[in-house]
Amino acid sequence: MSDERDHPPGGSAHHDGPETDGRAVAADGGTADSGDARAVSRSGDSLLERLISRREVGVFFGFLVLFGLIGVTRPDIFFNWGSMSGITSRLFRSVAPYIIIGIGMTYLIIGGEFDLSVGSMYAVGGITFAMLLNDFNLTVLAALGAVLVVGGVVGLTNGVVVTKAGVPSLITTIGMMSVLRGIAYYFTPAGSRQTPDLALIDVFGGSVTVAGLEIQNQIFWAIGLTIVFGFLLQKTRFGYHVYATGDDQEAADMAGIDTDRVKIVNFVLTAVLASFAGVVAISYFGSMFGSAGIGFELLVIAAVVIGGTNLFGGEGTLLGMFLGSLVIGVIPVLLVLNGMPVELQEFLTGVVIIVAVLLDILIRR
Amino acid sequence: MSQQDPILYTERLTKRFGNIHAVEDVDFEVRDGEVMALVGDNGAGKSTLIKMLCGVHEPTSGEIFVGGESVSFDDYNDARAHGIETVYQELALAPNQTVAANVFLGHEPTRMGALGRLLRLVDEERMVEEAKTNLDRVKIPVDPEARVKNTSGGQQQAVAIARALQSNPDILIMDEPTSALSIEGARNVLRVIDDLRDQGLTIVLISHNIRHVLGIADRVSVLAQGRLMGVREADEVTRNEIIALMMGAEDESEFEEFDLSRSADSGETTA
Repeated sequence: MSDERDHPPGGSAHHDGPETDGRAVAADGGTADSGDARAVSRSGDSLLERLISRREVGVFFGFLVLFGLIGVTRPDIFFNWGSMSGITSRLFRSVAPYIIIGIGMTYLIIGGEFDLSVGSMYAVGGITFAMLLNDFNLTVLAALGAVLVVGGVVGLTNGVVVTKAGVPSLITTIGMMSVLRGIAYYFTPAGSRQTPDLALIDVFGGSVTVAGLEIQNQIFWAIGLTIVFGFLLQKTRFGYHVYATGDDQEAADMAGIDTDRVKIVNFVLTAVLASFAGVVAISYFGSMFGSAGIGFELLVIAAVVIGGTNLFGGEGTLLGMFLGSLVIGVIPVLLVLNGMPVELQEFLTGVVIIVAVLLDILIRR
Repeated sequence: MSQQDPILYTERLTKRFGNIHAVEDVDFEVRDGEVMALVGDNGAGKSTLIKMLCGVHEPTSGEIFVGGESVSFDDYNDARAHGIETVYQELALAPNQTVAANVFLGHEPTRMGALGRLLRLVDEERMVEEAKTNLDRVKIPVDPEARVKNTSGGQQQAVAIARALQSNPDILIMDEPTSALSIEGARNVLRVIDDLRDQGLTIVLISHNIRHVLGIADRVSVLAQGRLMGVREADEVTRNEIIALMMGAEDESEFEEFDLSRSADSGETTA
């Protein structure tokens, strides 16, 4: 920031923001007696230009290209609604947990932190849910409530250790990842746990079929939560403070924002949503292994960053994360349909994640 | 209060960091409605002194008086509550947020109505409108909806000042407001300081740049090695006398035999 101040008018030229061109007019050259802020024109930023400069649009086209590649490589499947509807349904279903967890992760990363324990939290959430229903005979709502409270306590622990004790989130949440994975294994002595047959569980795990396309309820939860939390992030004071905290924590502190509290709330939100994603998943599958959710943290962070959230905080949207999750979800579908072995899938997914984050960093320079 | 009343003063204010005496026994005084410049070389104690005045550092000993009453600040919010606002050299802006969001950082106006209050929904229209009003007071044109990182150094200074004015302070402390700016940008900021004084604000201006200081200030306080070397009326003092004080001379005559024009110039280029 200081280097930008050293070269006032020209220094902003390399920024890719849509406003850049209009701004140069008002750089220090603005005359002393023209007190009119509107001297700064936004002309030149046509709707189209602004659209193109939005990361979300780029990510959406990226998704369409990958999706279209299915048609290019496997036209036999792509143009057969019977098989394609099944693939589309699976794609949406597979990305739902990424999106639900990604909501919290986006808040966290915009606010300047991240959480690597979400995959383990997802497993503990689902397994605890089944355990409370089977062994403790709780109602679905009571079990759900208890699981979310467990998530809240985990998030609170992460948040307090990071902000108040000053342990970096990398260490804190890797530690928590291991702690929770241990708990998940401990509660699944038989390897996995099953949910009982209860009608209410279908609220999370059921589906509706439209024109031969089976749409899992999970995706509705993912969309609904994205809309609600997207609105809160963009429109509330808390949302503003999340952005400010990740943008420049010292500046936010000086302005009277309790940045520790902002981060703690974000950790709580993330863990609660991760445990909820676990509930939704076990409701759909009917059972869950102690190893469920391994590697989710990386996929979710990749989806968030691909969607345009600045890995270093201060910028990002939930819409971007939603589309980034679709990109992350469509890659294995494309690979499977083209007969790639499982090892290669894992390998390529890793490559895509690193390249995507690298590109993001390069674009920002 | 009349022009002569001190609105802010300190008695034997001292700050030590271990063995380092950053500020030692300083009786600093600012009169209501004046622009008081605080000058000194690097390490003279300017920053430490103002950090005590704005609540960042706790004094080791000595007292601070605001409006005649003794005060102690735990943090900048305390100082703010006593009418003291600070514009830091590093400005403390969030670069990726809009100008309006930065002007209202931490104090975003919320919407009326039950839902607005419950969720604390930010009233963006009002925020942009009021940011415009505040920026107009500073009179450097800035688009309230631009992102701060896309604005110039002078504009960022304007944003930081507009934000400081948000809480209607009595005293505005400005730390090196012109140091990172172009000549044009510096001139604009000096004009803003002049305007704010006309609007009745008391200003403490920390600067390296003696030419800027003498052009705008009513009085000048000079620090050297943590001590207050002297206070002068700006229109009665010469550049050389200030430089002599900055270099720790008790008496200007000690320096009379030297040609000070070179050191005066170098004093400005570092600023």
